[in-house]
Amino acid sequence: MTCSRSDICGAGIGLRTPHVNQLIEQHWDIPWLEILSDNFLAAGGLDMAMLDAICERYPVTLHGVNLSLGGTAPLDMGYLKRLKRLMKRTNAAWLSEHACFSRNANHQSHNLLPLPYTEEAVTHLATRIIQVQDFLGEQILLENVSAYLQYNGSEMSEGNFLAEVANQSDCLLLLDINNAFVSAENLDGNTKQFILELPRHRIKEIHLAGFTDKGDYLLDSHSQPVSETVWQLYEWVMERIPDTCTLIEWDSDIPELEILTAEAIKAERILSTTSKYTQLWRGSPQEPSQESSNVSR
Amino acid sequence: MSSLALLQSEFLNSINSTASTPFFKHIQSGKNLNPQARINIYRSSTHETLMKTLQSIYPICQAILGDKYFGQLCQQYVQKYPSQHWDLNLYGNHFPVYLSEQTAGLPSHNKLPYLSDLASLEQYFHAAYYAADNNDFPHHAFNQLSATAQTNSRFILAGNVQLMSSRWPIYTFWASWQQGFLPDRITAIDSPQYLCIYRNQYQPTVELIDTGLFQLIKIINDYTLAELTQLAEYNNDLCHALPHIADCIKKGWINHFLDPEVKSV
Repeated sequence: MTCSRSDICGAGIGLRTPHVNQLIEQHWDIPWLEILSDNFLAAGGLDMAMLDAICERYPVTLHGVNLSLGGTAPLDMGYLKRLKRLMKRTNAAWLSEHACFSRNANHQSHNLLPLPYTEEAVTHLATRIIQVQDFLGEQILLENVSAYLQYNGSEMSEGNFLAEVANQSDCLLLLDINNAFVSAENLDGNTKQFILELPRHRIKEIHLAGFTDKGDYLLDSHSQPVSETVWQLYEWVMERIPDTCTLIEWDSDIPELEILTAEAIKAERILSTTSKYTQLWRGSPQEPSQESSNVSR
Repeated sequence: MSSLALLQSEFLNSINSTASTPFFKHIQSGKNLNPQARINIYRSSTHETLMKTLQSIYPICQAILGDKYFGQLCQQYVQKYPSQHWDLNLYGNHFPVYLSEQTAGLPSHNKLPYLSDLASLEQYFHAAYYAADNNDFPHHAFNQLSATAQTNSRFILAGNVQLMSSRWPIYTFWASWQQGFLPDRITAIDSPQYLCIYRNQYQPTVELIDTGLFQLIKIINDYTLAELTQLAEYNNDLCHALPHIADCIKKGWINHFLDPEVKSV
């Protein structure tokens, strides 16, 4: 399926392994899917074949976690080349990544580690994003991460930091409302203040997910339905930036596809009340697609 | 080193160390959590990711050792061997040897001398799933060669083919696991088992092979067909295996050839 940036609208869901066969064998009326790029960078195999089948049926975007955009170790050009190949293979509308670092020369954390909000980090992150955008030949989306610590040496707020990085690099933004809420709760911050500091014209996508309350802190677990507080924040955000496509993320204790799509339908209803995009999608499977796949797990 | 690089280095080191580190001085305490507790959140998350990776690659080893003991070994392993690559499928390369070292200290009736070989088999099986897709053997190009050029060619194994041997009946063990159970006991065998692990279309596959075929596949990249034929004159097992080259091509184990007179195909 050829997919342009304008094809991505409404509320989509993240593609997760337990749902792949269902999404291939039945046609779900889902506006778009987000692919976790790091799960599909292998040289070959069944997963790649299934991804091809998915991309024939649904518009997709790519979402990465290992680029280490804010890292001081050199960009991994081998990894970046694989990402570029994957973008071409999937016809993804865009690639999003995180405002964080995840590795140095010796260690890979497989975690989204927060950056200090300093002028040095702004310049460094913006320079790296420009490098990536030049290599890919297009703008990427930069996402705010959930944080469990803040640095004594930070010189500005997270919102101002991201705004400055986006302005210097001319990248777009992915606002994860759940991350923003989790960080604010963990670090005594203010979610709305953070969001108001972002340049709204650069916000291209919203992420919604569920967190786990661990007592002393909130964990960005992606293992629950979106919390009521985050839904309220979403409504508040949508009044300010209507028409912003939205994605439901769910990564642990993954539920049935029906439950995931129910969350997306809820987002779609909020979107439709604030948006020009008014076509409510049903989210239920239609008759099996005429192009039944030969690929199954 | 820039201040940003130093900060990042200290952060990553603190994730891999339970001791108090210089990184703590950079962190604000906040109302509920001190710096140590905040680092622990990242450390737990990193370790959990790596432990889940090991559990997904080594399900048979986990079943043999039990969830609790396997979990303890994984936890020690992820502390000793932090990940160095973004691709989690590459994590755990030392795990078979590590298992062997750790279980060597168990009481004699609990020793599991075959565990390392079994772990290697699971590792190869996992790697085969994600290996590059095979191209078909270029029969037409090979058939166009003169008879001399054919015998001077070298056959090349597909990238998803791995070989291993064991003096323990790990294939039998593997086959039992596929049927949903583990053998009650396992004893050393007189002749080693030879295995070829590869991917059949999209399905990783383990196949028991004989010693001749094992020897042939092991050296096939390094010798021309003529040289292999010469070697086979002095090696009965190899002699019996040579006619099976066609089968190896059919199964996709051999998927290209090098013609020294012309070019790589």
